[in-house]
Amino acid sequence: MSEGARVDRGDAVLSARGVSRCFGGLTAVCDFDLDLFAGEIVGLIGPNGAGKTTVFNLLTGVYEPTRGNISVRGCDIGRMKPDGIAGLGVARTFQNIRLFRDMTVLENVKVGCQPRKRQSLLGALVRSKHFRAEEAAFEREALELLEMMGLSEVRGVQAGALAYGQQRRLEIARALAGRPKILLLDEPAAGANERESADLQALIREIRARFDLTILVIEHDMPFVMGLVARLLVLDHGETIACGTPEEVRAHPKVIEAYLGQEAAK
Amino acid sequence: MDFDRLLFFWGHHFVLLGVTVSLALSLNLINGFCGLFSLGHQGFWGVGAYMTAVLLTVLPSGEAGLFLFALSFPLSMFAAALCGLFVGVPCLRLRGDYLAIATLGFGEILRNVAINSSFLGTSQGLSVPNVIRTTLEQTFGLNRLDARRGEMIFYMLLSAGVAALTLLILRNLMRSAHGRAITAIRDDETAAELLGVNLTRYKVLVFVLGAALAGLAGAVYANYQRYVSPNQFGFMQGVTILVIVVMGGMGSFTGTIVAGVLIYALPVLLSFAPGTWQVPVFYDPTQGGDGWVHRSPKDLWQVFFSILLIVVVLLRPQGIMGTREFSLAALFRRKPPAPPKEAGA
Ligand SMILES: Nc1ncnc2c1ncn2[C@@H]1O[C@H](COP(=O)(O)OP(=O)(O)OP(=O)(O)O)[C@@H](O)[C@H]1O
Ligand SMILES: [Mg+2]
Repeated sequence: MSEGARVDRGDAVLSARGVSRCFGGLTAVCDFDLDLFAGEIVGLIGPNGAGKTTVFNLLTGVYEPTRGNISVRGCDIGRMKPDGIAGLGVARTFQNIRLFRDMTVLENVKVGCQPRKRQSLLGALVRSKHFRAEEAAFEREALELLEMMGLSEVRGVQAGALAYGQQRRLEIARALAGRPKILLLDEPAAGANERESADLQALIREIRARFDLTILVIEHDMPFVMGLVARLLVLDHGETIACGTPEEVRAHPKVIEAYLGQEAAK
Repeated sequence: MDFDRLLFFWGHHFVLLGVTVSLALSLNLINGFCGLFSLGHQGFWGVGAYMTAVLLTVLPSGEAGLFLFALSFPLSMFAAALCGLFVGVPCLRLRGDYLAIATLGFGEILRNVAINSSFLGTSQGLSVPNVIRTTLEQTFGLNRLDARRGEMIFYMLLSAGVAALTLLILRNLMRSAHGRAITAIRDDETAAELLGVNLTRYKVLVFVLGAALAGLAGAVYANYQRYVSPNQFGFMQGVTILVIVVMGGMGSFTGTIVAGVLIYALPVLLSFAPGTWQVPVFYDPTQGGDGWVHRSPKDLWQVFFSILLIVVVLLRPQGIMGTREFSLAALFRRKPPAPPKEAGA
């Protein structure tokens, strides 16, 4: 990514510079660079174990980078904890779904409102006017999000009892409840059939427009990403081996090699 | 007179039941709702009780007695909350079993401090002046019996009031965004943190608030019993409270109340067993007669306690109420519809 491109498109809402992360002797992510510009949808692909989820974990503060720095909306997040980063407007979903399984669907979404809560503890204990207004707003917005995700019917059901596809959509709803600026989706289409992944594509475009989001999406389903993103990055063994438009990436010799190598290994 | 027998016998148990339920409610916040494992709740209770005792014995009471009595409640809460903060901040880096051991250690350290401190009355304990009875006798001019009756009724109301206040505070807390943050920590700490929940802040909050409410129960207890000693706040008392929380359901306030009544009532009801009832407990041929050694049921309450616990754990491992709350409205509401199956998933 050239400096020129950066100036053309305004300041990045999220940027990573030379970010590496090692686990013992293994370099899971090596010299990773990324600029996300407001409003775009960027793809992150690569074979299994390439380091994609590790990138998400670095961007959300689950892991500290071994080297390099990351900034979100002009703030260096080097030593910040995940909750602080969430407060800057970064939300994510998980490859292995991490819902609060014993809570209802509605409660899950309401937990997502955390970064926006302004109610004081005392206000909550005496149920002040401001507290009640905020709780009512959370409830209303959570219901709206569920409506949008097609989960209104099941709002009172325990999250753990939902079908797989519903759980994935609930994770997106929960992430959106905090009104993030940047949404990181880790394999949102995993386990979806063709029709469902087409629906999901439309849904992701809709939420991008409606909530003014910048989205980074990890996905193995090639037609899904290729149809969704304007540009994408390819990771292999922690290294960024290619970046560009879907057409450029598809034709890139290293990408073909990485994916063919994986096919051959199977 | 019959009324007095009822009042003094059941009133006494009512007051102590209120204290027990208050303690179990605040422990449920820490262990049940937030998923931290504290074994030191009796310590915070003891701090509250000793704070009250020291306040009322060290300072000259007399005229100011009623004022000091009123002051003992907020001050005991504050002292226990402070202890909660001191224990909580370093200990909350620990997880699961380690936190349990650290908090257990805290409880035992406090007990040993009390045993070895002459200021705190060593193992003899401290006695607390009877402010309420004195006030009733001197200020209101009641006779001895009426003053005792008034005192008992006062403490029954106080104990029920404190339990109700504890319930109200905790229930309102849990029905707020703060409460949802606390439950989220229990269910999935990492996910909660990624959704913007400040783990340290909420764990310390839970610990400090739980401790403060235990301190409040301690103030009621010390004022009512008019005596505090290290053995009243030992590990076994902590275990009893913990058993109430586990049996009622980790994460259910109404479950805690139901289990609190059950467990508190067990030894009281057993004490009514006629002295002629004898249960053979073990066989010793060197003893006279047929060799069976008998005990009265009232000496065996711990056995019944264990049996009750085993039955609950076998039949309802999540506790009597699980994480649900009992409400009359819910009884009459119809069940929510089953989740519709998602097409193709
Ligand atoms: N906490 C950790 N400790 C040790 N190794 C780790 C840890 N997290 C990830 N790794 C390793 O880092 C590498 C990259 O893992 P990562 O989960 O980021 O891959 P991925 O690209 O998301 O793969 P997939 O497509 O299977 O989800 C793997 O070799 C993994 O074993
Ligand atoms: Mg992954």
